[in-house]
Amino acid sequence: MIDDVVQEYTKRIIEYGAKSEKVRIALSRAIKAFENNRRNALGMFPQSIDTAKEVRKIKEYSIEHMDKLIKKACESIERNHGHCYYAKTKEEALQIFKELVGTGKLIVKSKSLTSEEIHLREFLEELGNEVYETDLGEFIVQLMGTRPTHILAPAINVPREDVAKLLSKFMKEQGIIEEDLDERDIEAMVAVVRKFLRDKFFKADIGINGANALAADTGTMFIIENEGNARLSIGAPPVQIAIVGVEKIVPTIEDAFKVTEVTWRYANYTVPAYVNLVSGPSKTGDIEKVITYGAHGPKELHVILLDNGRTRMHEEGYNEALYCLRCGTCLYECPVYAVTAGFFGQQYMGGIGAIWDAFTTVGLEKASPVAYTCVRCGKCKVMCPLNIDIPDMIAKLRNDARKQGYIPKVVRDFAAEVEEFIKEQK
Amino acid sequence: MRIMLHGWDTSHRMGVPEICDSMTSIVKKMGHEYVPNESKVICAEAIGFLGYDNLTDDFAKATVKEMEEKVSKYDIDLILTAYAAPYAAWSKEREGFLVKRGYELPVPIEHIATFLYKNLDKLKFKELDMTVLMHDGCTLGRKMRVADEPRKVLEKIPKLKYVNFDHPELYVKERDLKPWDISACPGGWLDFTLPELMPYVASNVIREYALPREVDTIVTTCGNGYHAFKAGVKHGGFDIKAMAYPMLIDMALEGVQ
Ligand code: SF4
Repeated sequence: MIDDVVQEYTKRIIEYGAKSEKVRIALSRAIKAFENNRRNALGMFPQSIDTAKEVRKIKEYSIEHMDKLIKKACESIERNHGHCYYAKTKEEALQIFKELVGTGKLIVKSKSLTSEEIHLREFLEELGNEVYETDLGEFIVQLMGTRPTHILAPAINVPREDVAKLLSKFMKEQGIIEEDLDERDIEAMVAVVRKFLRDKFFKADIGINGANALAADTGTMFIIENEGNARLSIGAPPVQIAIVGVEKIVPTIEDAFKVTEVTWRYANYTVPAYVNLVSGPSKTGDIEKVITYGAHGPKELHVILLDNGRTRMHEEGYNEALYCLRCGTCLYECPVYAVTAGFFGQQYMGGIGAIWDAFTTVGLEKASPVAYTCVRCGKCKVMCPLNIDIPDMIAKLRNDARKQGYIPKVVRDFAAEVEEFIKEQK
Repeated sequence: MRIMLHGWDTSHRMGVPEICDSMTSIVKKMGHEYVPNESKVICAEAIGFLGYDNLTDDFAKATVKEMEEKVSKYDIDLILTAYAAPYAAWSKEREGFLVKRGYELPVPIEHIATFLYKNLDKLKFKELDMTVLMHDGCTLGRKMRVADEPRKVLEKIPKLKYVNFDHPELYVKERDLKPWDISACPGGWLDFTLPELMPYVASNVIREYALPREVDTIVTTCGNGYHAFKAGVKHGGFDIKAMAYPMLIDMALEGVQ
């Protein structure tokens, strides 16, 4: 029932988000750092502002031609000796993973919102696999047993003091350290995670990754990162499996470069430490030009293209949500997110997250209170590199929610007053 | 002129009757008569973005009907509001949302800032020796680009200084963003959708953007925004005042020449 959904959501966003001084302080620090970094990044490379306009056009074209691009991307991946799969639903994607992974494997995973969308790690763990998130923020979130609260910085709401406590406990249990970590010493925290995960990268049977863009003409995935965990997850294990939302496909490799450039610039990097380009499994032709797969990197590459509501999003007029680069700008700019972090959302976050939640994760009923958390102030639209009209889509989503009877009581009561007024006037 | 003050019910319901008091006072000082519009009418655009687009047309028609009755009963020349949404919906001059949809009020509607701006030559102000933090309402500033008008009026008040709400220096000049593009919203609309959250959002906006600016007053062109700021000041226990735009003007306005 919608009233229960709203009650549960309201309790969560107020108790864990709004009332938490920790969340507020952590976000205040992060937002200031973001503003500084963005100023540096865009100040140094202002051409990205115009490239963003081009990217908007690329995305418009790509979403209109999604079917064609899926087919073309798959052909390219297969041509490169990768294996391509199309999963219409979350269940289909998980079934493909089940068949590819099986049980009893050690898996290293790099950050991927698309994998979060289908609860991939939990699913693989239930199958009896040992799975590690390797992005530091995701690793922290995994240890906490919670969920990411920012699309780029998953543990943005966790202050260093809590991270030190969490890592101290876990790493002592693992025999990596003997003494508690100093809560001021972030470097030591990073080092201890490096030590722990390094071993996992090289022992892992499978590496899993997402992608920021996928070029249909070459089948090349672009993966932006800073930590180096993605390239280790991609490069070290013998098998690589990628899960990529179909909205990430663009026609050409040049387009994909533009998409990734704008993504990292607005994600406030002058330039990221790494941009990984993966088109196929590892290969060599160094002995008599005989192409042999699995030289140093993975011998197998599997790419799962996930629809899971994206086509429906397009069909129902939410195209612009599919343009989203996940640069995170709108979250940093949102006055509501600044006090609630990812509790403003179900699985995805913020205003844009309400649309994604409605179509790909929890459905319209549970997305409804998220849509009513957005104040439609429009700052996100102004700041978004692609000028995505989140407020407009929120209004549309609320109307769709009303048609299904998913309106919070406070809004229903207000509408009833308006109806009364209309009746009086008639 | 006889002016109908719109937003009367909203202000009282939200616990900010001081908006009505200041609007009344301004109108009187300018030598006009006023009639409060006490009905529940809000702009019919808002009901659409609250999720009831199915009511928009009926609501617009009902609003026009009520306004026609009142305009003829009280001989009204103008509708005046401190809220951005009704102005955004009904202003003919600005090609408002409902005007484009084919509805028209029997007399023009003005936002207090545009109204004062249009009468700027006639306004007589006394000195106000204070510095205020100017907050542009999201609809008025970011969406409608009504940002120069309220500032021009402030500039006419002797000794009054204003600083813009946000930190434009933190943004990139190549993007050519204006202060009203980046102005943070204190969450006034949450009062209609998730009221428990509003004071938290507002107090954080004050803490992050207003307190570091070392001013003693925030002034906003948004009626809802004022309501939120007021709640935020109380919630945060801050030593800063919040004012709706007409409240500040009323402090300085002496009359008309
Ligand atoms: S909606 Fe725009 S600002 Fe927000 S994450 Fe997507 S691309 Fe970035």
